[in-house]
Amino acid sequence: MDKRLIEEIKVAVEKAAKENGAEGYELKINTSTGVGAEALKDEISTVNYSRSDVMSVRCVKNNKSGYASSELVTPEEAASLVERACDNALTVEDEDEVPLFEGSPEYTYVTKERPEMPTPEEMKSTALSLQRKAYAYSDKVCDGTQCFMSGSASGSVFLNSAGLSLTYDDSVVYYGASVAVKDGELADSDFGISLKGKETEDELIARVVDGTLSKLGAEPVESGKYNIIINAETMRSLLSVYSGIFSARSAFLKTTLLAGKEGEKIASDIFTICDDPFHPNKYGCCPFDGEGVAVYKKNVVENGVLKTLLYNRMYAKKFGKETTGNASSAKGVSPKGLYIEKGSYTSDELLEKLGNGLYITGLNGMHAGANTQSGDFSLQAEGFLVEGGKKTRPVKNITVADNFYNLIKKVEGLSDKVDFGATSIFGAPDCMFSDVSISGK
Amino acid sequence: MIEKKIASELISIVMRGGADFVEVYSEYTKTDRVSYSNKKIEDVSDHVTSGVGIRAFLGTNTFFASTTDLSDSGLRECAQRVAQAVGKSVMTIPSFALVERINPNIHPVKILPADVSAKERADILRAACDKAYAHSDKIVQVGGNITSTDKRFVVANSEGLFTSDRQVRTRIGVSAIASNGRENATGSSSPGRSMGLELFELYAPESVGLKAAEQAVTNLSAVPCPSGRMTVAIENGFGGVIFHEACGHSLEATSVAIGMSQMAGKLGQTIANPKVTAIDDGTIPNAWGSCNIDDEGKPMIKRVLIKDGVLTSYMVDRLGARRMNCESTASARRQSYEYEPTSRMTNTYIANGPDKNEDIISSIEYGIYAKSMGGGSVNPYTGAFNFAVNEGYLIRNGKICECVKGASLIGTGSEILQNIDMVGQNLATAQGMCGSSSGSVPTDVGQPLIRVSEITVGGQA
Repeated sequence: MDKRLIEEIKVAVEKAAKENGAEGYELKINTSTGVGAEALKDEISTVNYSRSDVMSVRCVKNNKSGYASSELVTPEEAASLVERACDNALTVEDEDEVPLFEGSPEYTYVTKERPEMPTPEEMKSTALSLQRKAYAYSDKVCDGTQCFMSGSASGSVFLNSAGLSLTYDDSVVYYGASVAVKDGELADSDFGISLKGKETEDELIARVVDGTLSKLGAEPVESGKYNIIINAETMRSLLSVYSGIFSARSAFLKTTLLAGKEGEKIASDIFTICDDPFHPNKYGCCPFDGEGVAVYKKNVVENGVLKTLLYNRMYAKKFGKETTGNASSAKGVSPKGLYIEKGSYTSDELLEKLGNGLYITGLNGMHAGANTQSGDFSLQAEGFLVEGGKKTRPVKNITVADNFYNLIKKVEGLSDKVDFGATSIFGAPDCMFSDVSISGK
Repeated sequence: MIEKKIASELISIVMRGGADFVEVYSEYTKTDRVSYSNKKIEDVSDHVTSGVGIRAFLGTNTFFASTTDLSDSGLRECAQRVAQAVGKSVMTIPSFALVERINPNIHPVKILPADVSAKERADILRAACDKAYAHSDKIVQVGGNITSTDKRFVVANSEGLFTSDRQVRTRIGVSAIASNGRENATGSSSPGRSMGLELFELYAPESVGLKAAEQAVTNLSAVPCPSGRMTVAIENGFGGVIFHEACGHSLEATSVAIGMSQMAGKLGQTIANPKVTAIDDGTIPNAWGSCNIDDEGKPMIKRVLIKDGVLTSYMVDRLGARRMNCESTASARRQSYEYEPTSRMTNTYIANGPDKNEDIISSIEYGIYAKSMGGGSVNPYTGAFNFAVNEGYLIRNGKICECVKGASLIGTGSEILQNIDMVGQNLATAQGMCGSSSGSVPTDVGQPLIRVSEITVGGQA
């Protein structure tokens, strides 16, 4: 980001804060650039580029915080934001309980290779190459298949009137395939992405096409109670939906049933959840949270016992705790790298342990079918019937229903690899659960 | 907002890259939000969305760039990137002249959000949330917000179009949690319209809070929902999400034009029970999903998608029209300048049918009455859809019985359209935010009470 512009904005904010009687301010500027190319049939169908800057200001007035933000990143707009944020603060009834943060003793900057943004030529050629490989991999791959390459680079600046000044830059490049297959009357589709270099193009295409083909001919199973394995990719999505139950904000608002249960047993003995911003399998590792506090690794659930909720400074003070470096903002809480710790079984050994049951590879409609307050969920699912420790046929048009608080008490086994996917902050291994309601035929 | 002269220059830059069509979209949107939780106004904020998106076609291939840098050099760089992506470099380009078109406003606004102070909006929100708390001592938490958007955009293209629109929307959302100390249950209500703060002349804030609280308390007594195949009656209003997910997305050119929809190639065919007529109408005055023009500048229209069970129209944008060799149905929508527009729904509903509501319930020996629906999702290629039941009841011997929790309904679009075998007469709509490749856009869903003869119900029992 242009350092001169940042300095001009900072000066404008300081001046406006003084003029508007603000007791303090916090300024965040985020910039991002995105590029991408996509292929359809045998040609490039889309090439895109985006540049997006956004600036947000928090002003403290009468010991209350007001916010304003804008995509116009100019000194003039910055001054306007301060005025609007101060006005907004006057209507807020929630008083600030902690002053602006002066800084942590040290910040961990993990050195990771930051990929260069791909050129349009590289993206086009990669998308076309993936497309050709998808069609060549199986004659059942059909039109509608779309392969792509994308990249994004981002920069964050965090400043406040307590003297804190932090920056963080990151970038990511990935490619992927949305594959459609057809075999007579049978048809299905699936999607997969990989960080550039993590999987080769051939490995990615084999994984996604094989996965899509394996779904052909799927049928429901009989309704009933089943032992199931939820695969790593699906489990991390379910964890992300329910991650809010570990938030101290949720505990304060009584929207999680874990309120007041720190130190209590809430899950199976073999179940451990960590929040690790620097996990090696995870993309990104910003060294500070939304208040400028240094982030760090902590166990949230350890061998079934709730060790800590996730705190920012405000909720830490309300509960008489220390912040865990999990602020999304002064008022919000978010995980930084939440994952279910791995177990000791290989994926095949876990299938053997399951014996007979279901291996779930997809849960759909989580934004609506998973109630984060009650814990109840009922979700459309797909996967495989497992008989004698082997996947015997694909399954679809079923629902998996349970309660998340109940589910984590029924963990029977975990596989030995934690998967974060390409760009997720949530990770999980394959997880086996007992006695789950399945609705099918 | 972008001036005609600059728009013209940007179009010319991209045309010189060899594009056969270029479009410039410039947006300025102010969003104001007031939030309530834990018996206090917790947050007051505003946000400005401001930027330009430039799109080019060469045949059916698209090239797109967007930027928040609105300086002359920033806009030219954005156009140059699109031109370079097209990559054909031509010496002469077809002549065009931008001619301004002013559109009639069919969604008048009485009270602009900018004319209402944050304190006044906070007072409205507090009245709604206080009412929810007052309903029952079982209500342990109430959250709410009022969000108003005032969006202005200009769209210009190489065919000489230069036009603009202003879209004002206001919505209130209240969610309530009831608890008995062991379990939590939730309820919510969130009406909205394409209008200003006169929304609260239609919806008293207290009624919104009360509705959320009543649902939460009712759900606290719910028993686990049985699972399996059964007959389901789905109530009006947000029940219309069943058509939105099961069929609506599969009728969008986004998936139809590239063969990724189970509905591709079925125009003129009977795809639903003859009692089903379905409409997507973006012209309903002040409805949540309405617009004066679509995001490609075409005047909004009403589309009859299914007439007496026969598929009569898809929803088509400009790119879809090129791919499908047909006319656009003014269905292009985008969340913001950052997204390429694509075919989307506006206000989509199943029209009133021939059946009396009481006959629908009394016809069901054993099944579910889904009084209030949550959201859902669909794979348009396979037609497999799912959606959640927020408030449901068992039906035994034609009578509505105990409340059930944790239910979802799943199936495939083609199957469900045939299984809608009774259509009632109390059409109502409800508001939602629909997500797809061009972002999140406001849409209404709607229907009268309907009966689905057989569908898979997922529950914990």
